[in-house]
Amino acid sequence: MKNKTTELNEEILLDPYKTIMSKTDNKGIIEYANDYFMEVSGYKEWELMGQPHNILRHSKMPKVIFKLLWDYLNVAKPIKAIVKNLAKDGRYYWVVADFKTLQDENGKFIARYAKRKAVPSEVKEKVEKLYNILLEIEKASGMEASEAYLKGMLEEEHLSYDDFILNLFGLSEEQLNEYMSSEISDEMMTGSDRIVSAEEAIKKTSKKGLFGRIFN
Amino acid sequence: MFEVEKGLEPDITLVCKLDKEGEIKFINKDYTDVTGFTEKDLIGEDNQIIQHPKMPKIILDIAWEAIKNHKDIYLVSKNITKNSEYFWTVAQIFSRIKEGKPTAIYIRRKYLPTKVKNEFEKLYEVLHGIENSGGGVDIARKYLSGWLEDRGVSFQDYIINSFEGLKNIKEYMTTEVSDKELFETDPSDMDINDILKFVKKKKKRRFW
Repeated sequence: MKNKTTELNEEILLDPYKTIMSKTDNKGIIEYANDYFMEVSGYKEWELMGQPHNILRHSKMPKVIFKLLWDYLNVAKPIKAIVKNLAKDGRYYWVVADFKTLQDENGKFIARYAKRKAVPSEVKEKVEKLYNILLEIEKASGMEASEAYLKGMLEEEHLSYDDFILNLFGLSEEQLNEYMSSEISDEMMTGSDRIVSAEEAIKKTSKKGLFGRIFN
Repeated sequence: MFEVEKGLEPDITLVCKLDKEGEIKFINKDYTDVTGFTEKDLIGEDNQIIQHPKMPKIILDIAWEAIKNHKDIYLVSKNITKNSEYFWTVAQIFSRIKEGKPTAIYIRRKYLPTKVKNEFEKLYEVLHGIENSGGGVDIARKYLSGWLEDRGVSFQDYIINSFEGLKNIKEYMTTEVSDKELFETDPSDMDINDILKFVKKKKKRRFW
């Protein structure tokens, strides 16, 4: 295993038209990750394959978010989560991650896929505020308390976790999926045509089918 | 070691025949000309003698699995010469079957167009890196399977598609380029389409 990375207060901004993709086993061990994953995280393939995905875990991520994630993943339910990740050089990057678990007819685990995209700064700010509260609670009273807080917050707003994510983006499920699946290769988009903010990319892609591509 | 690339002419075909253990039994003239190894160096030796040390083990495993399952297969291979140069080829592997068991293995190797080479150079580097960083061949196999899923193709189709189809790769592997003068330029500058354009169906090179 690697040494502990020193976290830097410096963000890596993602290209909203690129997708960070990975395939893991049911324990979160990385089996495959695409080129953009390598580019952003700063790792080489041989440093990541066979390693647990939490090698990228940032200390500013509340444990309860990962608990929630695993609660979904363990029953093969798809889930989206907003995650602050730690790159090899100590910088961080925010992603909205979409997890999908593939099972055979008998419910036997086959593979898990995750794709991750850039997060608009407005969403980042909102999430960071919430995560900081959850972190404080975890520090003071443990994860059960932060879980209770998160549940209480959702109840108060009459939202399921899934709807809460959609609300953050202000998008319908279809629109967010459209954004999650949008991808434009470097060859297709060059120079001044290139849109650099996640907000703009979402605006474009949520006009259904414009840049849409079916995931899988 | 192996830092200089040996350029290959597109009309060259390296042929070898192996026994079922992978021992070299026959090689053609292009084979000795290109590799610099003589018959004396090669006959009775393991086919690994011209394998580049950074060839991923998983690719060799795929080759042996195909042979055991009596399947013909196309592969991309990185090879070496006696002078410690390296060269990339597209290889076609066939096996002769007798009573359900391979009795002889044939490998035909040809010049690999640059466009295809670039893709495989990166992939093989990664696979070799994974295999040699404690991950081993199992992790490399998983990576390769994810890499292919990401591209939505089988390994075989990925190679075939990079020649723009089965017909093209077959044609490329089995015909002879006669217009040698057309290739006075450095073959590495050529696109697969340029090569195919000049490939003429003169005679089938059936060598066994």
